[in-house]
Amino acid sequence: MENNRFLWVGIIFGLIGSLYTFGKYKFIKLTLGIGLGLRHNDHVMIGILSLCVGVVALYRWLVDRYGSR
Amino acid sequence: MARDVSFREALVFSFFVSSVMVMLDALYHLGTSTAVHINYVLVKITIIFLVLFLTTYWVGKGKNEGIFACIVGPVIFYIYYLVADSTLNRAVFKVDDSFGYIFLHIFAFAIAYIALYNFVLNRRGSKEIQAGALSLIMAFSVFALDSFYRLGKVQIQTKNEELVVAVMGFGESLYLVLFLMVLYFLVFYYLKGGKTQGIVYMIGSLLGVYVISGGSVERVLVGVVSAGLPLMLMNYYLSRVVGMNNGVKSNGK
Repeated sequence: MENNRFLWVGIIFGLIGSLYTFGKYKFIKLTLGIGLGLRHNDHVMIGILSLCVGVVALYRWLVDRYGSR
Repeated sequence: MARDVSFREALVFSFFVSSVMVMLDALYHLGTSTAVHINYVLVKITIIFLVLFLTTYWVGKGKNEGIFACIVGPVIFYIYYLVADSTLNRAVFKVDDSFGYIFLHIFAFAIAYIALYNFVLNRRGSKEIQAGALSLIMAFSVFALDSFYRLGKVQIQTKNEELVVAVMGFGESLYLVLFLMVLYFLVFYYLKGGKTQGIVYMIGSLLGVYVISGGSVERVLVGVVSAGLPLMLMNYYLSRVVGMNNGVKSNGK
């Protein structure tokens, strides 16, 4: 678990990021009920920031696992 | 195993690189009549800063890390453009939302990263190149803080994004950046002694801002912060965080 910490961070933030970035506004707000009272662009920003964290966490995991030349 | 970079080092490194990247890009947009819009500039600098900060803090600084951040930051920013609703009237204003701008953003990011990492931190190249790279970083950082003040002020006062787009002009911005770059090159290359450098740097910067802004005392007062903060941060970064003995003056003759 400890070795794969960044992998889990990447997966979790990647999923949250993908959901908020690419999910339709009505789907996030009405179907899932996680709109947080925000507008579409705010959801996109939350998603994009989560994607940033997720992608870099996956990169860190890859560097830990395979090294960086 | 990834190399460890301290939190403060990653923070200051990312501040300088992302400021320079965004303002290099903004200057290009001003030159090509593409809108420099406070909301998009803030989104862009947030994304670039976050990607670079996390990469530097979690993985480290270096060639591979630089290439990764230079590509991932602009690509994620392009995704934002694709998905977000436009806040500017696209029929009137052209913004950098086409695919080709990814390459411009990568190019600007790479210049900023190489200037700080290769020439200032690792001291590659001749003394002239090192002083030139440092002057580029400082000039664009000052330009960034000055521009954020101007754009933010109009945005808060008018809440009209179409007025904000008209705040910055290419000519004035270019003159300011060129003036600051030449001034800082002379300061960092020829002057010795931290105090002398600091005094000439501040007086020259404020004088330049005063003249180029057409005699705006308000901009000069803001300039105390927008010119002073990058100098303090760079001095702190080079002397305390990275461990170079004598801060910015070490790049002089």
